[in-house]
Amino acid sequence: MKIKVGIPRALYFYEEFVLWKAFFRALKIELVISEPTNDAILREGAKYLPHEFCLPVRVFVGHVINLLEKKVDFIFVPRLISLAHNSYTCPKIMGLPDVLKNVLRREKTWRMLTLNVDYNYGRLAILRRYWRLGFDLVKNPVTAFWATAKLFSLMKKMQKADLKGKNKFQVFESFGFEPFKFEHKHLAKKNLKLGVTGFSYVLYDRYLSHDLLNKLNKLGVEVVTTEMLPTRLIKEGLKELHKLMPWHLSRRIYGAAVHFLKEKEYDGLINLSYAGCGPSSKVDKLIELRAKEKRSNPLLHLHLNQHLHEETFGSKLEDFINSLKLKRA
Amino acid sequence: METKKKKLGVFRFGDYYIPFLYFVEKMGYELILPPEDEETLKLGCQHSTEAICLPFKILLGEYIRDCEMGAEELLMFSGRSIRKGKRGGACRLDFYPEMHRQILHDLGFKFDIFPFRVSMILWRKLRQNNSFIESLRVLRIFLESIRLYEYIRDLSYKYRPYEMKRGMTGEIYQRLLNKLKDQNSLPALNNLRKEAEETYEKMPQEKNREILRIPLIGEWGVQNISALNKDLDIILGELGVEVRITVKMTDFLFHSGSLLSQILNLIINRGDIHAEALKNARPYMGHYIGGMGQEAVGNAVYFAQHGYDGAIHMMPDTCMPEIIAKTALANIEQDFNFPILYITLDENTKKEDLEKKVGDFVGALKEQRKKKQ
Repeated sequence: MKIKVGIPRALYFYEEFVLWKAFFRALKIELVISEPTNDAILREGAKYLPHEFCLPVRVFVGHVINLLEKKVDFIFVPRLISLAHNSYTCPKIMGLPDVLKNVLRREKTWRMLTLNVDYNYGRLAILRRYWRLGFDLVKNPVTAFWATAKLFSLMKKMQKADLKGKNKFQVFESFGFEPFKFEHKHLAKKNLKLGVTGFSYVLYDRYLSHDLLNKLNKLGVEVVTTEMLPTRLIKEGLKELHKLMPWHLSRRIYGAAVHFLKEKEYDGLINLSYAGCGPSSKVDKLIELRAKEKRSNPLLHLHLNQHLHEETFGSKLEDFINSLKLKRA
Repeated sequence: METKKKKLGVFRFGDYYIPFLYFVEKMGYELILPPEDEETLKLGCQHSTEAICLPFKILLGEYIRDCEMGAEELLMFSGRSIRKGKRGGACRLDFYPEMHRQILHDLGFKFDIFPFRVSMILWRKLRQNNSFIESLRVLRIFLESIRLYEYIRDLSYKYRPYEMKRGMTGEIYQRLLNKLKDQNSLPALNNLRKEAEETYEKMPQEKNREILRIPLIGEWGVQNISALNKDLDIILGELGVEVRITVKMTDFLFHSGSLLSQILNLIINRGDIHAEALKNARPYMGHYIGGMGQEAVGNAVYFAQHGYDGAIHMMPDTCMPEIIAKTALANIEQDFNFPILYITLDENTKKEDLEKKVGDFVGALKEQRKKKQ
């Protein structure tokens, strides 16, 4: 019988899924991905975690529950400690397997697959852990080795593409994974070009982001997100800091935000963040301070929380865009 | 020719500024101390976003006060993690200095940053004005006086529940701190240590009182800064509770990850006191999660196993590691039948509310104990 492994469609799914897919496929394991976020998932997740947690993490628990209903054998929740040298993920993501273990302890019987991913100890250490995971699953060292080798070659290819100046979206697409589908991508009239920054797990989740990207497209705006920028440009933006922040994604966001604020080809920047997010509380302030500098593009902060009305969100957005259009005309 | 001394603005961090008085002077700076009042925290809140944690706000307020008083250089936490040997610190503390720098620059202040962490930078600054032997001595006295300060504070926690007259311990504590300000040699510090033990012992006490033992666990900033926790340690002591602060400044200094701090840790300190806590935490919290999250979980297990009556978990609002730690603490409560009180502090916390909350908790614990007997 084939083993079924469930992967929650939340948090770092949008960053790492290409790797996971290749690895599990090589092990001949069936992957089950949870449904896109909806009201029911949010409700389930909110039951288990208190208000202090940010919404994306609460939603993650909802996705896990959703997978449990689908009768999978394992749920894959890796502990992502660091995704690039000398950087870290947010504590809530570091402690995710423990949080799940603690809150779902008495609820249901379920099995979690987990491994530590820490790039600070080098790629070899990570590959070894992946091998171990594969071996535990299929009990065959050779298959596990081939899966790990495949993972390694994929990592190499992605790195090479990154160095060539391709952006993350293009890299993902070339490996058959599309984090986000634009509905109105080919609308003819585009008169504004906006940068949008935000965590990938909020931006590309249509429920959590209130479908911001599509809404902008519909309003006739060309959208450029953090993932559509090559790493070189992001690093350039980060040079303005004396000391880098420890969080991997926040670094990307700040670097991209500086780029969007500085370059004249963009008309403005929309920064999306969720209430209760620790790193955002600091990075948002930094972006705000950066936007105060002379000759930078206008900035709109969209601070989301669970109880935000769809209407206020829409009207805020339209006001901002109308003001930009006026400015242009 | 005598050069003009540079002015160095420091933070208060509870009463931790006292060991700095001697140290900063020896480094050739003039010390600037922010006044202790409510205005400081208000200033800090005004200029930072709402969702940032409380220690950040009070430090920002203190730096603004320092700058207004003409500080040219600011002492800033340059913490990596508190853990020895592990790189990193996903907690927001890691990014304090850069944030403070940008916000203060935006307000129009000009200053340099003095990164505070036992490392070669600190050593080089010391060597500028002192000979090799002298700077070694100064560093030693500085670290010893921080430890002595913590010792004096710990003694006050030990004796406060037994005091005959309310406030006696506080008076002795203040007197000892005033003496600590003038000490500048190792033998003098040793004498003060002995004197502290004797004066506390001599204080009129009622030894047959029944007391509870409740440690404070959680984030170290709110544990140590009395302006943030509204003197919770004193409130508890007067309720007849022996308090214990689990994470202190020395844990930060000796485990800040640099080579120098590790060497000093071997020479002066007893070693990693949190090693056992981390081992205990493993079933509930398998990995380092930034800040003091894992330590809080491990300490809770330790105290539950060693017959303490309960624990008080403290954290500033939105503290990331402690929120995660809480999910584990809820399970520890059930597994060990160990009551834990959760306190979340923000700038609007009132002393009366805290008193009531803590009073109820202590009352319930006392009743529970009576039932057992």
